[in-house]
Amino acid sequence: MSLLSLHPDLLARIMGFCTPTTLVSLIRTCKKFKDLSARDDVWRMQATLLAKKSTRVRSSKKQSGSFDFFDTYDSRLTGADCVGRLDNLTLDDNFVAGIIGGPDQQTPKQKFTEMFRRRGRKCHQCGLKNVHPTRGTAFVCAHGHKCFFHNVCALPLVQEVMQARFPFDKLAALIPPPPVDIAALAPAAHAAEPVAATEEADDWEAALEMQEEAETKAAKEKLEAEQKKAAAEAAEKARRDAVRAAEEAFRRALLEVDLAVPCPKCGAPVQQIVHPPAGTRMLGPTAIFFFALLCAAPPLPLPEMIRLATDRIGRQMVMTLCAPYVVHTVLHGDVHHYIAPQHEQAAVDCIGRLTALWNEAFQARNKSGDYVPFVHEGQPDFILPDQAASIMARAKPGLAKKAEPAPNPSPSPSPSPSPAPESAVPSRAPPRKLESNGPVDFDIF
Amino acid sequence: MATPAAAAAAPAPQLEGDIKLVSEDAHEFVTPKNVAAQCKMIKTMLEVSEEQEFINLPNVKGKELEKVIEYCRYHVQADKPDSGVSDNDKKTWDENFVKVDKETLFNLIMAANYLDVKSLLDLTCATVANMLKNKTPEEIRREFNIKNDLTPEEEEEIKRESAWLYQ
Repeated sequence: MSLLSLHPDLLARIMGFCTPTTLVSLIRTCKKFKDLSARDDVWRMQATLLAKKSTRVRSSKKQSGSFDFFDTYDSRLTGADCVGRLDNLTLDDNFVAGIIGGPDQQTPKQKFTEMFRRRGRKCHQCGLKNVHPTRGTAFVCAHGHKCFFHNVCALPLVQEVMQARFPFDKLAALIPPPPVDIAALAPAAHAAEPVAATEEADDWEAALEMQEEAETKAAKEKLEAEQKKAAAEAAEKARRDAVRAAEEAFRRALLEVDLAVPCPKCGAPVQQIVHPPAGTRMLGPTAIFFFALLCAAPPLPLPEMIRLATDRIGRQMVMTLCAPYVVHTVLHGDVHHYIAPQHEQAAVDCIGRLTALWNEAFQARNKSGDYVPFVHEGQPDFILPDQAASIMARAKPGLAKKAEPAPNPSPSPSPSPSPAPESAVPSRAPPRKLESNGPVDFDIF
Repeated sequence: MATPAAAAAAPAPQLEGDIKLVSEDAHEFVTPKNVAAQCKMIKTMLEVSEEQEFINLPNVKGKELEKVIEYCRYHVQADKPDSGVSDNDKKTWDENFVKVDKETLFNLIMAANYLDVKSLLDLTCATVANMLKNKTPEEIRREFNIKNDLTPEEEEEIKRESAWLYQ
C-alpha cells in the first residue's frame, strides 16, 4: 500500500490539507499530483483553511497585527490593527470597480492565490502576527527557507551591516558632477562680429588693425575654448572614474550585505529578496530593499523608485548614481524629482548599470548556475515634470510629505542640471533593457 | 408538517444493543450499535434494518476495523457532556491515535472513507499532509517511493504556475 495507490479523491483531500509550500512541493513530485492540482476542490479546501486561519488570528487580540499608520519607525507600536481593516479600506476604495466588474469569474485557484497574496504574515523577528504583506520584506535563503520580516524589524538587520561595511562617506566624495555641456562650450568665435566690422571701416589701416585685433582675439578665444574643452573632458573622465569606483563599491557592498544577512532558520546566506508589490511605500528602506524594487517585474518610473527609497542609505545611493539626471522642483511645498527628457537615455543606462550590478552580484553567489537573469521587455517609464505633478497630487498626503529633498551628498554644486540640448547628453551605450532577478530554481519553493 | 431542516435536526432514534461487525479477513467485533453508528455507512444500514445481528464489511481488514471502532468508542465517550474530556485532551488522544506506520495509516484512510467517518478521514488525511510538511519534492519521492515522471517542460510549467507562492 503506497500513497499513490490511494483513490484520487483521497489524494486531493490530502492535498487540500497541505500547507501552500508543501502543496507546491507535492505537485512537483510526479504527474499524478500535477494533474490533481487542476481540481477545484483542492483550491477550495486551501482557501477555506486559509480563511479559517486568518479568522483565528484576527479574533485574537494577542495576535493582531500592526497597521501601517500606527507603526512607528523605532518599533514602538502606538496602536494595532489587522489586515482585515486595511482590506476593508481597499474594498471601499474599489467599490465602484467591483460593481462594474460584474459577477465574480475567478476560479477557486485564482481566489485562493489572491487570498494568499493578501494574507497577514508573521514577523520572524518580533513574532508579531498578521502583519500586512506590504509592511515587510520576505527573504529567501539558499535553501529556500522563506522568512518574513516586519520592516521595522528588518531594518536593523540590514542597515547595521550596511552602515558598518559600506563606505558611504567615501562614496559620497566620489559623487559625479552633472554632465558637462560640451556642445555649449564649443568655440563660437568664428561667428564673431569683428569680421563684419572690417567691411564698414573707411581706413584700410584701421581695418587691418582691427582685423589683426580680431584675429588675436579669435585665437585667444579659440585657445580658451580648447582649454575649457580639455578641462571638460578631464572632468568627464574623472566623473567616469568616479562612477566606476562607485560601481565597484556597490558591487562589494551588495555581496557583503547579502552574505552577511543569514537565514534565521538555517543560517544560509540570503539568496533572494521577495519585494513587496510594486507601488508599495516602504518604511525604513535600505539599499537592499531598493535594489529589490529595482528588479521588480514591472519597471517602476525612476522618480517613483526614488520616492519609494525614501530616506537614508537607499535614497542616498540612488541619488549618488542618478544625481546628474534628477531634477528637483518644489510644487505646493512638496519636492518632486523627475528626469529631464534629454537625460532619459542616460538615466536608462544608469538603471541598466545598477540592474546589471545586481544580477552580477547574484551570479557571483550562484556560481553553480541556477540563477538565470531574464530580460524584461520595454523600458523604464519616466515621468515628465507635468506628469510628476499630477502623480504627486494623486498620492496620499502622507506619502507626498515623505518625498523631501535628500541631503545632497554631492560636493558638486547642484544635482539639478538645467535642461540642456540633446547634444549635451554625454554619448553612451544604447540603453539596456531593464533586467530582473529571475525566478531562482530552489529545491523548495 | 416538519420542514426538511427540522427533520434533519431531529435526534436520531436511540440505538440500543450490540452489533457484530465482520471484517474482510473474517475478524468479528461486537460493538454497541451507538458506537458503530458513528460510521455513517453502518448507521444507514442500521436505520434500514434494526434487527440485523451482523454486518459484513468486505473492504476493511480486521486491524483497521479494530482501530476505527477504537476511535469511534473514544469519541462517543468523550463527546458526552458529562465526560469531562477537554478539547485539548481529545486532540492529544487523536495525535497518539494516528502514530502508526504508513501502511496502516493509508489503510485507515481507506477504511474511514469506506465507512464514512468524516472526522477520522480528516484526521488521517491531515496526518499524511503533516508527514509531507517541510520536505522537498525529492525527499517526498524518497519517503513515499514516488517515481518522477514529469518532463522538463512540465516542471517548468509547474514553476511558472507556482509563482503565486513568492508574490
